[in-house]
Amino acid sequence: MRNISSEMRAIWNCAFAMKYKGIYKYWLWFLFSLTLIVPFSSWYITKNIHNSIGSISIPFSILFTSAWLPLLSGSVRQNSAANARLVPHLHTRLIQLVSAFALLGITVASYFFSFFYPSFGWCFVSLLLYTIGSGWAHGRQFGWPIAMVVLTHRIIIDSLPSNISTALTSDTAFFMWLALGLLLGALFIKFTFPHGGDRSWQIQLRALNQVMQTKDPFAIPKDASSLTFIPYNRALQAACAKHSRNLAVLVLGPNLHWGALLSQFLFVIIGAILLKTLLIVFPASNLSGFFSGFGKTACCILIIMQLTAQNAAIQFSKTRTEQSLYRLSAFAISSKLLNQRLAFGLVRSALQGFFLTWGVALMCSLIIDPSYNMMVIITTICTLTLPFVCLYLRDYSREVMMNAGYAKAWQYLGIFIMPSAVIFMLTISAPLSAWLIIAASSIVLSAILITYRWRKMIAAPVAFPAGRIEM
Amino acid sequence: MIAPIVQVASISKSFSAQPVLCSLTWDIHPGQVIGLLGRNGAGKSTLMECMLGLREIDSGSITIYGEDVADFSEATRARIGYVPQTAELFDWLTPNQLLDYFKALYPHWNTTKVENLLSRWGFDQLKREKRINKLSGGEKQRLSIIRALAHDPQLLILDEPVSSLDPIGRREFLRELIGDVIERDTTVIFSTHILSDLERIALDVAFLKDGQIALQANLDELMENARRIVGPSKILQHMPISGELRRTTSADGSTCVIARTNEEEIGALTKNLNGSNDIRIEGLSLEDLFVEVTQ
Repeated sequence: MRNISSEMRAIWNCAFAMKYKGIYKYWLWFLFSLTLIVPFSSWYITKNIHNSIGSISIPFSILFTSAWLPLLSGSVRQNSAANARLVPHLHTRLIQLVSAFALLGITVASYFFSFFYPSFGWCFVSLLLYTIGSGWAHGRQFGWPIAMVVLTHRIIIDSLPSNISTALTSDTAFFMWLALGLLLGALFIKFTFPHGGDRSWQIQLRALNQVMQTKDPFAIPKDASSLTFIPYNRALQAACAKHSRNLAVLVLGPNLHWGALLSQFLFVIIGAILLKTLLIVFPASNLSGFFSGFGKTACCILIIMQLTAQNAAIQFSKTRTEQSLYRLSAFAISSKLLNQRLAFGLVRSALQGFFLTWGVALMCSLIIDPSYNMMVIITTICTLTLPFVCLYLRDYSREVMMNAGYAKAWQYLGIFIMPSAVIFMLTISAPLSAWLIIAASSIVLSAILITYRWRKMIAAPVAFPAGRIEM
Repeated sequence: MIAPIVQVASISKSFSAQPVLCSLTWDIHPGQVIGLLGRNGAGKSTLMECMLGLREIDSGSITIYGEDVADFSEATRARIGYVPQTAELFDWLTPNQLLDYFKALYPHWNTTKVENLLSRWGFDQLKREKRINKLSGGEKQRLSIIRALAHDPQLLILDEPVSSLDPIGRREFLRELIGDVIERDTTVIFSTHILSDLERIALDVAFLKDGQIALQANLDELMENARRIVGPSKILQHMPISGELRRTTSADGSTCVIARTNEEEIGALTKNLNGSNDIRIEGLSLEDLFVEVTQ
């Protein structure tokens, strides 16, 4: 008992006797002030600005305050790194206490709150805030498992009586689907891209280090000059080579990993939630027109970006030094294998751009004009950009720099977009099946083109490091 | 005669129509510490990258430890350390992650040395967990050097390793290089424009000019024997001088000859000139020599 009380006292001291200097001191005061303001302001806003939901202002205030707490504790932690180092176990305990308290409050309140007012999505906004806050502050997604259960339950309840299109257009269901997508995306990212790096290679490194530790330390050569290929070294090299094949992914940047797509989707979904929220809060006003226009514009810009930008190639061309260092390391995979990795990465990155564009376009259509027809048309237009993926697959041994030329891009633009425009004009009144046929044709064509150019790229002489800029 | 560990044989490299390396031949023997000098754009980085197989050469051949650069074995790669000119590397990782990553790629990793260098070169725990793109240029360069030294390479190729370091950082780096690396008979090739650093550590210097090694010599011997001989053109213009490196005649009627010549030869030259007061023979600093050779 005495231990618990002394520990609580230490936690209290740890929380309030932190040594802050300079701007951090003011930042901390600002955060604490906000903590006092958040419950009242959230209550006031929900009560006065949205009169119709005044009755739920108190639970909403509780929710929002609970969501705020992890952000606050995260700031305390992040801005007092020295303190965290001095009393690490207490510091961690403090963060866990705050997070657990907030999670408990938000889970219970949001669950019951959704029964009282099912067509309103603030509880999900609070959950989102909490989860983002805890993820940002502590690198731990405390809320995901419980939130998953809550939301899945709500989705099932809401979706059962109606069909999917109704579920998609209902405000509550919209939020729930988005939130579910958000949660799933975050879970995937959790297992692919935790904060600070790629989980898969971290695990590999850990495994490798364990291998090295369990082996006879005396067998480890003390000096490079004593490098001999004794059995131990062979075994170690085999282990390392196996790992380095995966580690090669890292050379071309974290965006080569397929998980990067999910992280981008996460932002898209957050953006969609914010946009939808704004449209709900300000219905039938000039602002809603503005937000609607903003959504449409963003959608168009993203599609144009997908058509013209060559992010994948440009991105990889920036990793020339990294590729060089990797190539010179002892257990690097062969250049040929790395070339394959590069080709794979290029296709994946380009497809990522395509899916992102498609996702954004669909989100915008769901928010602005949630109809099946619109979604099909948008899907078709997006798939028309798919053949551009093959642009990235080139014989880089003949290129001075890793950049699919804009001239070629315009050629493809002409080849695919102009006939598409003609088809669009001719079939604008055609049934949706015509659109679907166009989309399917584009996908097939893309597959053929990608396969053809993939083979050419793999068969080409090894270009390494890729993206040489030899002016 | 010990076989060279790096053999560069008549390599040529050009970018578009511009030749950078022209039939360059260069041998580097074990234990040599060579400072590679040359003007901006002379091709120092290109030469180093070609030597490591990071750039394809147009013609010629390069071998390191008897292996072609295009096909290094794991053992050879484990013996090479390289610090690129660009310190912007693996920006998306933290220093700890970067070092862990490379640790997994080498059979031998001197953890103690890494830890010591990180501590001595100002990488506290906070900095080690900071993304590399948040580090300063000097910190990135230090990290790059630590990474290159961590596996105790036998051949170290440094492309302007101290260009972003402050004088203290440079001193620490040189101390490390002299105290640990060179003492272990590591072969070092490094390019720099900071000649005072080069004078501290280099045993040999090589000047790159017009795509070729214009001059390579032991630094002490070069500093001792390099002379600038200035006098009237009518006397010097047709006079053969042994070890001549460069001869220029200016509009005022004077001729300047840069030569590597020893005391005996200077004595003989003075005797030939019959004690003419118009002739001036003076020693050269490394900076003077750099200017004269690479101009």
